[in-house]
Amino acid sequence: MNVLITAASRRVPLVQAFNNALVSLGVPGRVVVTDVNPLSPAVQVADRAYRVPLAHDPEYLAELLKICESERIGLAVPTIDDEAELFGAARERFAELGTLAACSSQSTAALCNDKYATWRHLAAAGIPAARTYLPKDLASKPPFPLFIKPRIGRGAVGAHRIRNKRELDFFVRYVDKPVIQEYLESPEYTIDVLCDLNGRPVHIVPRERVVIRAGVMDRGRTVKWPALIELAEQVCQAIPFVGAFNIQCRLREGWPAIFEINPRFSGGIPLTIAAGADFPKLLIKMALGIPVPPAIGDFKEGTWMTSYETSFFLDETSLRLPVCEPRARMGEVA
Amino acid sequence: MRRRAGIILQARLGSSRLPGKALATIAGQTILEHCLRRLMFPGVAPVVLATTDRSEDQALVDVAERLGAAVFRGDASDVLGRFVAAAAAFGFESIVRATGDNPGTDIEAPGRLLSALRAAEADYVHEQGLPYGAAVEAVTRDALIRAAHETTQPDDREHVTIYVRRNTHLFHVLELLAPAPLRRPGVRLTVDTAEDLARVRAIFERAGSDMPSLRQLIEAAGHPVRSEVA
Repeated sequence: MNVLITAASRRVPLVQAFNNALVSLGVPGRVVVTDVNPLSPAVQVADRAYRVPLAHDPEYLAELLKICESERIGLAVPTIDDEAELFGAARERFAELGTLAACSSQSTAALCNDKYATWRHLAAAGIPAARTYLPKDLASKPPFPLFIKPRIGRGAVGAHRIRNKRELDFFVRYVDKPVIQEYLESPEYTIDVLCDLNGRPVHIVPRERVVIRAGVMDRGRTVKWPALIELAEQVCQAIPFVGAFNIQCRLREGWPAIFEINPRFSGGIPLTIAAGADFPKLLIKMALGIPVPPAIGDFKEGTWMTSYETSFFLDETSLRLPVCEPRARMGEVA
Repeated sequence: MRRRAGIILQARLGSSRLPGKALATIAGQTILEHCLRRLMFPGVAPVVLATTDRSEDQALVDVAERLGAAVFRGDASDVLGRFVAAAAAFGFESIVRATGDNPGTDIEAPGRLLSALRAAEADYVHEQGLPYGAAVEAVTRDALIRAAHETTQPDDREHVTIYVRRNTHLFHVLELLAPAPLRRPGVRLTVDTAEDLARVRAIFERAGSDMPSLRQLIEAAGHPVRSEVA
């Protein structure tokens, strides 16, 4: 069972987690990654790495499919928002190559990538979420502070806290196609969720993001707060997910309200895995066709993570990232 | 801990419907050679030919030894007992069972099934939906030993895994779906009769390779597999 992790970039712990999962399951296989840059750290720890164009390039999907066929990939794991819809639309094409694309449908990805659509969908389902407005719908004298971000956005890029009308007027023009959200002043939580191929939640692991650096949790801890687990279960009933996704929320009057859903692995997933919810291992089992029973709440509460930077030191001649050249299929070997 | 795995291919020359079929040739190789080479090619586990102790089966032993496969000879009618003895002789704790009438066995199936057997900690794993004659099955030696102790039914002894598959309350039996591109249950690749032999010869001829992949065999059988990358 070979595993492909796309746009691996800085996701060294995720690559290592899939490697560990293969070893601990006794499943022979390798972890292959793609990236646009040979300097990406994850390239240095993968068994094999390929250079691909950016996710919005028209050749991107064809390159991934070529790698899946050539490397006999059994499980493909997308990691960035930019490719979520593309992957969702191509799930059958991956399946035709014998590859399970561990991702939600195109419509789910599109819904999550559009923050205004996400809010409307959650509100219609009665799920607590941060109130979200288009600029034209905002009251003339809204309560500050507010939060503004691109309607279709990635991570924390283009997100700003707005303190007054003057800042609002500026950022509405400054941010591309913005939405404005109520600002929830509270600790922030991310809920890592793993769903099986039928959309049934298998694991739900909330964690508090105690220190955040560049949009990724630097220090945090797992929490077993039933309100967060139930919130995630409500989301799974309202939106069909497959594989890993994460819900971001803050508290409104002491209760969690969602401000974003990301249909992909979270940056803080190493903590969830360390707490005993081994998403990579379960995804490998799913790709092998093995039923995976739900284990909601089956993780260690109070597991802390604290991170630090580390570096690879590379010889200049090793900075090569090949493109995939299709190799002969097994049956074509003389 | 990882269990030692092996692939055991059962074959004999005596066949009621098509005597001597193991040595019948397809695309220049005997059916036994096709079977052994396809099982040995990916290198996922050592391959043992388990044949009978009858003198006529020495010809099969000669083929296996020429290709570098190990050989075990045992009881002609108690195939289950032969498997248990072979697994014990080679120290296999997980076993892929393949049969010598399937020259189109899926080359990658042993690896898939051993992975699933380990990952699910199952006693038995089988894939549904492959062409008839392309599948193998994986089973633990412990399960075979228990079956060998508990059943005296002739069918159970001849077909090796029936007892395990039937007694799901005793064994963790896992039925998986074969990979989607290979799910073509209407394609027949086994060689049981003279008609089968003629058809499989024609399929291999059209496939045009001395070790065609299962995809190529499916396509050659007139069932195209969509695999082109746009």
